[in-house]
Amino acid sequence: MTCQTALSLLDDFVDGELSQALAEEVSVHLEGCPRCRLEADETKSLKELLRQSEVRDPGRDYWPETSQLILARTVQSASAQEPHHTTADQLADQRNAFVRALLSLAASLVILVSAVVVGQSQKSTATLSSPDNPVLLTSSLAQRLDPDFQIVTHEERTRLAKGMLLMGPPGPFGRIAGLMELINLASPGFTEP
Amino acid sequence: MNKEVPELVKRFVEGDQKAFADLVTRFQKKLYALAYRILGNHLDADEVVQETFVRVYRKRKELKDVNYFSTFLVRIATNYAIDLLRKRKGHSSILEDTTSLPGNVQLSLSHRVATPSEMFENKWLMEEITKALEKLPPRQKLTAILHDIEGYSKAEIADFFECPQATVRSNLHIARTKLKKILKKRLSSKEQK
Repeated sequence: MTCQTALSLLDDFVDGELSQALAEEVSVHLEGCPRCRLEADETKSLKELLRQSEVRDPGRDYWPETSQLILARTVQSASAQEPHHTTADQLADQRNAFVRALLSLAASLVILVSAVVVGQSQKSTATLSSPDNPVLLTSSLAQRLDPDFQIVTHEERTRLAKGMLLMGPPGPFGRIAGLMELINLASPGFTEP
Repeated sequence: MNKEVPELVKRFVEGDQKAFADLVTRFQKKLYALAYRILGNHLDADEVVQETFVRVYRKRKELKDVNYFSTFLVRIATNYAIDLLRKRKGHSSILEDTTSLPGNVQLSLSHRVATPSEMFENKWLMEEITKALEKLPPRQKLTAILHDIEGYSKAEIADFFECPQATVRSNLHIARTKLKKILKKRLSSKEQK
């Protein structure tokens, strides 16, 4: 056996992982080759040295404490979180469903009130549009073109309020103002300013 | 005792929390020693132990073969340790004073009570070996620790790293060559004794 072959097998030889036949061949080579023998001895010594170093125990209390920490981060947190998680989810779902229902109800009410108010105002407009009512005459196109024209009639105010309700004028309460105006105009006790 | 491990693992995978607690108790010392040798300090070793078990718990469904638990555990631990080593690259870890370790009692993990001179000698030896190992790249360092200190076979290490055995052999050979060079004085004094 050459030195090159012996050196390539040396790690496995020292680790006892060679077949018996190969191990015997390497042994024979080492007996006659001081250089390869030195290499083998150094590897054996290194292994022994490494195995001699002992890790110090971090203390008797360390192990149960660490076990508890691990269990707290795994088993206990999982069992504690799962039901809590489900309840929280259920509560959130219930809350969201309630809010959605409330919003739907509010929207329905707004639509209903708007429909009633618009219907009533149309009725009152029809009343106002009767030939016997002189108020209609004041809201002519000629008057609209007049720069000094001021909205003073019931019809003008109704139209403006309808427009406010449909168009949604600027400001957070634009539509609400229109709605309130329509309600006011439709109420039986309404009087022209 | 070892026959009980596959049964414990089976129960753990099925969701038995007591079985997991038992596995933590059984394997935490072995894991701590391995992590300490790789990282050279208590805090990092502690982090590896805890994080490994947390990851094992979360990934338990991935464990198809109950006999594979030890490999599964060590693979997760070594991968996490490599991550920590890479994070700390450039920041040479300072070997801590063993008196700063938690707990009042400091016993060797081998449960052999050392004499004061042995303790002193072991402290220096541990420091020297850790410093020498620190000079190796992570894979070579881990291969040397797992094979020459922890006693894992090359096939097992190939399993941990999911690489061919030839890679393990090569890493081990390079690691030993470097370590022999770094620890030359210590090795020659050992041979003289």
